Amino acid sequence: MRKKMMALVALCALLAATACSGSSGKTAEESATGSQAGSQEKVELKMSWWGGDQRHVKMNEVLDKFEQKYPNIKVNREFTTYDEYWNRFAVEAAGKNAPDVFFTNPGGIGQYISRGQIMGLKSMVDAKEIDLSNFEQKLIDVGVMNGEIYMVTYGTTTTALYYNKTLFDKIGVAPPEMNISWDQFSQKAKEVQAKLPKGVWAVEDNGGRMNPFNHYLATQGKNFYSKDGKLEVTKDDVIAYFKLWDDIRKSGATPPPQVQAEYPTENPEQSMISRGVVAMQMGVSNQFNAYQMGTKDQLDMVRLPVYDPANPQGQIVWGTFLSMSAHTEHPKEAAMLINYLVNDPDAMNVIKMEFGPIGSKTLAEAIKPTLSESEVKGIAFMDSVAQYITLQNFAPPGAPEVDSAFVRAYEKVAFGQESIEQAADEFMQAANEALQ
Amino acid sequence: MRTSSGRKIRPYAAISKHLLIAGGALVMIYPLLWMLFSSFKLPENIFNDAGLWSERFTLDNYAKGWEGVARTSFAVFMKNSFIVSGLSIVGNIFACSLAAYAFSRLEFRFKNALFAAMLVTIMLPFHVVVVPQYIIFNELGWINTFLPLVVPKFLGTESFFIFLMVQFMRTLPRELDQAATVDGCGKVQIYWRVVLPLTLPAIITTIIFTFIWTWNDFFSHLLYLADIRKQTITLGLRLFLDSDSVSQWGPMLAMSVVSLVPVFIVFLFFQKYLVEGITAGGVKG
Amino acid sequence: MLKKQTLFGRDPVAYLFLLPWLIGFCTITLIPILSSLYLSFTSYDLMSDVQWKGLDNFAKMLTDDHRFVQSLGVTLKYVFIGVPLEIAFALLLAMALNKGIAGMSVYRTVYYVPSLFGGSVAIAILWRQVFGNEGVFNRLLGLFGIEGTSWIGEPSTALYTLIVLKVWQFGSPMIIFLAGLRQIPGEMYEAASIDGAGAFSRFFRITVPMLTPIIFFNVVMQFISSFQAFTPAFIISNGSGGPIDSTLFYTLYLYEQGFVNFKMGYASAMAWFLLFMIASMTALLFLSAKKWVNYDR
Repeated sequence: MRKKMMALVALCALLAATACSGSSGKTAEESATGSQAGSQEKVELKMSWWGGDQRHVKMNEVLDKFEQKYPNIKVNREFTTYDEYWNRFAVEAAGKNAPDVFFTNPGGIGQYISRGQIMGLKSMVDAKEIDLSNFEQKLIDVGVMNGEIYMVTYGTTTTALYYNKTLFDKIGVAPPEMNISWDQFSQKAKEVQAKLPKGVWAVEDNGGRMNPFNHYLATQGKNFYSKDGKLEVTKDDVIAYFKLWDDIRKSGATPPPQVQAEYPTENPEQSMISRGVVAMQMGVSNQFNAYQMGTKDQLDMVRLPVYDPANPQGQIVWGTFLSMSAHTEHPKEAAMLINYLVNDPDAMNVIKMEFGPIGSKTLAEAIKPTLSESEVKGIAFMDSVAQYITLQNFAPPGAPEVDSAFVRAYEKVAFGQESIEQAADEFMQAANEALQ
Repeated sequence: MRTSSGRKIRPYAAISKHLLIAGGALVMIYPLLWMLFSSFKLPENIFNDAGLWSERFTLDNYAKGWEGVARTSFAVFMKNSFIVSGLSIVGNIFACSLAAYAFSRLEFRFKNALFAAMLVTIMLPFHVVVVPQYIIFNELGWINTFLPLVVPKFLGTESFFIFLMVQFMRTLPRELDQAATVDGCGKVQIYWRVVLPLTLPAIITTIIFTFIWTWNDFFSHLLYLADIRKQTITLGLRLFLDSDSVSQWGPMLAMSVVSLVPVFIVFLFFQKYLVEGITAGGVKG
Repeated sequence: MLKKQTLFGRDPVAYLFLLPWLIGFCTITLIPILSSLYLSFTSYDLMSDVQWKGLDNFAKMLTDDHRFVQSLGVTLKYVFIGVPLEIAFALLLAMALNKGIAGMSVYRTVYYVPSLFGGSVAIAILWRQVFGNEGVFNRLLGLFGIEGTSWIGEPSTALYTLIVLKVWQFGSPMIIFLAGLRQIPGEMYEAASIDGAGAFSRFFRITVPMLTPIIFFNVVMQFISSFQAFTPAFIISNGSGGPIDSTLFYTLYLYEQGFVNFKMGYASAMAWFLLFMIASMTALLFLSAKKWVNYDR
């Protein structure tokens, strides 16, 4: 037994040694390619993205095509799911190992701009190194803060009100329409609730959700954050929004708070609407497919309610954007990559509508004939609200704390622990502190 | 009924003991059953079914799951997990048993201070050491390799096992050491021939726990394994789910079941040795 | 023949045995620990320069942060209810499964199964399936005519579902107890039976005293790891510590401050305060060990 153990340990030590030397050998080789003297300088970029399986396959394909077109550039790839993406990004940025090109969105990027991690792209755009001349102007402006371009639109999405068409038909109520007021929406919810069986509710309680709240402000022409990163939202705004949902909840049209609290995350297939627990839900348009896949009922989507149906201006665009690291060693090549991703027809033929409606008008026209039914639906929805798009100021550092304070404040109202006044007070205090 | 030593026992006591344990076992295992059953269900039924049963069962999830993510077969993830876990086990046994022997059997200057230092390393939450450690490994060029995951085990960073082995070694009678010394053994030989073999229960425990913990480890894998071909099952399983697009719960559950199989095997195999294969006490060999 | 006392103590060869650990400690462990100590006196957002803040972080933590106090309360409840329960079950089951029942191997494995789930994503779903509003537990209660609520969604009960989760995973300390039981010489039990000692007597006079080093180990390690519990709360509450911070574990709050709010300096201060708490408690345990832990045979 002892002799066998000795041999086993020796063997393992040997394996360990070869594994170690094997990997470090590769590292040395990899770094050598960066400094190879040749006719064209070999460059290695690192690109990072989030998504699901389909997206990884498509992105890999696109990057392979890019490498074929530019043989001197190699793209190292890092991808993970959305939830883990920012954790890894934060540590990499801290370790000065951030990717050269990466996905961002308006919610996440504010944290990094003020900390000098994001490269300003305006000069490259002006020089047409990143050619945005075919883009909808609004879709370029979405990535701008204080006159500098930080994000390039890769795919767009926006808020939407999902509803279960099959269920509405069954109970004989007309589904919500485009451009109804919040009061009309409240009425609709109560009307629906009266006809629903026990254990099914009209709509999820969105009193503590930031996305609908931002939309609520947008259709009033208001912004949550000001241009210089302070709070523009007022206590009265918060009170009004909390009151709206408090009323809907107390009428019994939303699930009770403890049922609501079971699902802190909005995973589409597990969502309440997909499981037939609610008839309507506020979400984002590019997840339509995911919601639909979780249920046999037919789902549909319409624009969120607006403050004033006579003047329905105000729609926030989210989505997937591309940014460049401020510390990249190869800005030229990184720009080439971004340019390729948003402008090259070959690339777009692979990606198509994976990220939602895209920025380049010419490419959007080109791929239209090749789209599937649900993809066409997605574009149609975007088109229907495009005219109302307004621009929002990016979330500044401290925004995550504000977000969580908002959730908690409403939870306290919903569970009856605090009055709306108190909760709104607490929230404003916490939010101001967080933004100092 | 009689026990092996021939004493009578009351049948009711035995039956109710049995029932309790069996009932408890069902409670323990229900979630696993749920996972098992769900892995054979259609995606739209997984969360909609009330209990274990479903209208239709399918093998699709396993087929799709094995295909993996981003054109990387799940077999690759399993292979990588085996490598990381296997090397970690060797590293832990090696470094921790050596250190434990020193702490439990030898007298040396700074012993108490070093022992305290060892314990303190377990008490600091890893989230605050993650960033400095990442920077160190980055400087060494070890990012995107298995090295940051495995080398620390060979350097005894998993102090849990040092402490575990210390406790086991301290229960071994000193007379054994003395007898060996009289026979002419030096400290090294006492370690190798006397203490180590008798600490086998602790070593088996180390094997089981190291395997299971490294098999299930996530955050460090996320940080240090960027290239998909180097990724392990915890990363692979997570890739099936994505809150931004369609998640594949069916394949994810199926592959979770598959991932549990090696863990079960390791556990079943070694726990046998743990409980049956060793005569307790006495001097062996 | 006494060994001479050298500069490094009686057995300087110890340092040879400690070499791997010493190398690891000095290179991989010590530097991050010292830098986190330094960071706890600063403001550091991972990307910008470090700013010295002296004791500000600690002052704010202890006097001006009600979420900090909340997280402390949640964690203390979790530790002081969960650990004793878990160890009690582990010991009980280890005794029961050590011998004398048919199908022992299978049972041992089954009781260990929950521990295999660790921090897997499946746990969150499973826990909801059991303790959610439409979960199995409520259906069980329904059989007795009791109407349940959402145990996970109610702020007053959410933490207890996590304690149940912890106790449910008693397999790890149970295995260690089994290993420890293995080391008790069978002859001692036989000798005691011959002397006429009954089951209870044998348990309290042989098993428990012989097991004290292992009990001690399990108690210390469970305390240390429970104070640092992170994954269950993170997965089930999706990182929020909700509802209304009722499951805001100390390390969850720490993680939020460090990685979500980019306040790594504050997070480091929290980490060192935690270390101080755990170390004090462990020191107390070690001191008490002299009274009840016995290593001799």
